[in-house]
Amino acid sequence: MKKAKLIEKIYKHFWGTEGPIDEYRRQELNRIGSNAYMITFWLQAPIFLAGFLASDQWTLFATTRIFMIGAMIELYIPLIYISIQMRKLHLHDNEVSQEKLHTAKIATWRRAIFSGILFGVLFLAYETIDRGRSIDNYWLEVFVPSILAMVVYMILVGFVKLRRIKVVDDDEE
Amino acid sequence: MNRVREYRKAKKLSQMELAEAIGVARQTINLIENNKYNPSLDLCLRLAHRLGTDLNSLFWDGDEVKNEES
Repeated sequence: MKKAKLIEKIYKHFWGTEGPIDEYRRQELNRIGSNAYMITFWLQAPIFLAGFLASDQWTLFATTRIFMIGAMIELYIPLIYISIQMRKLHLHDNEVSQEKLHTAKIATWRRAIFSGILFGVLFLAYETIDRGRSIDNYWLEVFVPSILAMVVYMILVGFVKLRRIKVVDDDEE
Repeated sequence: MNRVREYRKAKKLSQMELAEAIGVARQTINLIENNKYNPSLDLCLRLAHRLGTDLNSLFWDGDEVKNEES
């Protein structure tokens, strides 16, 4: 039971859905995930081929660039597909009744705050490790930008998730 | 065509209330009522139980079978 609840939470967090992950949603999410994987898989072959050809003909710098661009393509094309499918099937919609609207908004901002804190911590860790000994003033150069990044992320996520809340009237199509 | 909507309205339930009662999303109930999704047997049984009826009354369409046979 605990394992099932944890898996459902992971599903919801990964896909950005709200409400129960019932059989219909599970079926559609599995289908979308499977198609996204196939797109990723089929993109790998031409990207690696281009990289290996480049390594033979061009410099290491050019080869690295080709692999980096390829990695971005391999990441973003499946993400675009997933985004289109989720919008088309309304799987991102957070449907609530009028009475539960206020509770839903509070829960949304709570999640946005949590996501923001996580982002801020990762940003801080990355900046600290990346810049290492070249930091003159840690608080001004690393800490304050991390806080700002955390706040901006929180606000963005909050507003995006708020837009997904839909008040449902009876028998809405 | 199933009769989920008919039985739901007879019980004076909204789609949201029925969905919450059987543990699915409102969207799923809407899709079932509009024949855009075929629920599993387990979900059909839960629907029938909540609406106080049986599977035949809710889903069986005898005319469809007769038309296929002829």
